[in-house]
Amino acid sequence: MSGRTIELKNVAVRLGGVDALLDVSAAFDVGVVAIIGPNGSGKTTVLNVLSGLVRLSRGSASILGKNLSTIPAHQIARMGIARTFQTSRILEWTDIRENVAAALSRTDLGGNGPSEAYRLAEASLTAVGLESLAGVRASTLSFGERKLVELARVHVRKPFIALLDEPVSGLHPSKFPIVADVISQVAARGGLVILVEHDYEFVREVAGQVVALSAGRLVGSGAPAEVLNDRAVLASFGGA
Amino acid sequence: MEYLLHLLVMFGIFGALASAANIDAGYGGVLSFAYAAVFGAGAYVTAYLLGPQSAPVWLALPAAVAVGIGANLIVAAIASRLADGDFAVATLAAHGLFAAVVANTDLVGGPMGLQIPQVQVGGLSLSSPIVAAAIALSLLTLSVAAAYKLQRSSLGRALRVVREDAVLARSLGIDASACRVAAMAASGALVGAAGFVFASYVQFVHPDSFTTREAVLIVCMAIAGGLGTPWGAVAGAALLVLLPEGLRWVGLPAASEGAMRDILYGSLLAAFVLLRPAGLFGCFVPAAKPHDTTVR
Repeated sequence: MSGRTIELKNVAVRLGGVDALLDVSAAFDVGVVAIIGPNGSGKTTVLNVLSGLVRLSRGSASILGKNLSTIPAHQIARMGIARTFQTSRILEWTDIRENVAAALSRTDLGGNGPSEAYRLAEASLTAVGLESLAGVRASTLSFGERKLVELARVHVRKPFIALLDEPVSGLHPSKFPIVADVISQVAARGGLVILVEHDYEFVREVAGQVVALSAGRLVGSGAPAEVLNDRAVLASFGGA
Repeated sequence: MEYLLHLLVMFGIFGALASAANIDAGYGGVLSFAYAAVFGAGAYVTAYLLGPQSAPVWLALPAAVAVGIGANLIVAAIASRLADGDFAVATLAAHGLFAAVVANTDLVGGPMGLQIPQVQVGGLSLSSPIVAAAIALSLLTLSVAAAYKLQRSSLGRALRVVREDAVLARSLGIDASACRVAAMAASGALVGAAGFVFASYVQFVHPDSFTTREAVLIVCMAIAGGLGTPWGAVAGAALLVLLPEGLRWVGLPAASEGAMRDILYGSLLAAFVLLRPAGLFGCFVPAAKPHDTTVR
């Protein structure tokens, strides 16, 4: 492995005339990292940078030593990076099984056909508790079920890096252990999970490191107990 | 009998064209209005090679297919740069460019068109209605089989993801451009081959055979039949090739028959969009959204 798993150096991103990130530097290896901060602080932008969906205005971002500015988004995903979105991206015109199977490439399937993709998809739907809905059309799903379908997509890919955008937002607390379990599976394989989350209790439970952003700047980084109790950090959130 | 065979030829050719449009729009999410131009390019290349160049059929058919692929890949290149509405207008402009070029190029007969001598293969004339019907229906069968194969392939699955959500596709490791290029090369080959069948059947190509009316008609067939399903194109072609023929029996004056067809096509398209947007057999309604969405 060359370099840190993920490294951000003086990263700045400007979107539609607004500074989404300003001079952010951070590095992560393995385990579970939570990014916290108020709305508009740049948390999702970090995930978008790491998945190649937005380009940097300044600075550099690398994964395993590879500079992301030269790699198209789909190739970044093929490096073993899976993600979820704040507003779930679901294929409305097809069923849930197909939604999850769509995450598997021919390489993932090792030359096997669609039946193997569906078998793996069903196993991942079982892992997130949606096995009974496998054949249901995705457009009928609730907000929380959509979140879990995206989580199943991450699960089925067995990624080295998982980027999860507010994975428990809108979920009933009884489903939180499912999310925690998927997160711990990635970490247990020696991978890295970066999650954006507003639920600090959940962050305390699953994260080994917390990074705090406010107005596009890094305002804190360290162990969860340390950052989540840091008055200066919380004050920068505007009373959050 | 000859009239019925002629209808079968047109049904086969336009079914293949609509099937190609379904591959691009129904699976790839690219709704082009340039099929008549791509079709015309295949027909003109066939006519030029078989006519003035006296080239053999074995050269003209691959050339028409290659030109179809090349022309549709130009459309794919346009699609990769423009959002849906802009793209549709750009493909209409591309069609206009094609029409202007062929109408003003002496090499292909300009406004007079290009005559082709009768082409024989194994003692069979390609302009014979029964031979042409067999060839056109074979092409239609091939196009439906291609759509079936695509639908069940990993490329087909990837295309459906691209069609619905380009950002999601990228985050799943799908190369949207490569998928679209592969699909549009396949559909371009079908359209080019349809151009060959048409030119060798009618033995004459003229700018009037590839107008915006044909461009819109092909898209209407794909939409009316239903996007995203192999049988949609067949149903759409059957509906829009055969139904207007019924006007012949109504006893309209010959001068108003063309206008009545246009009214019928327009009304049918409007009715499908309003009442049954998924078409006769379709499972997908194209959404009015850009190919790619800026993510924040």
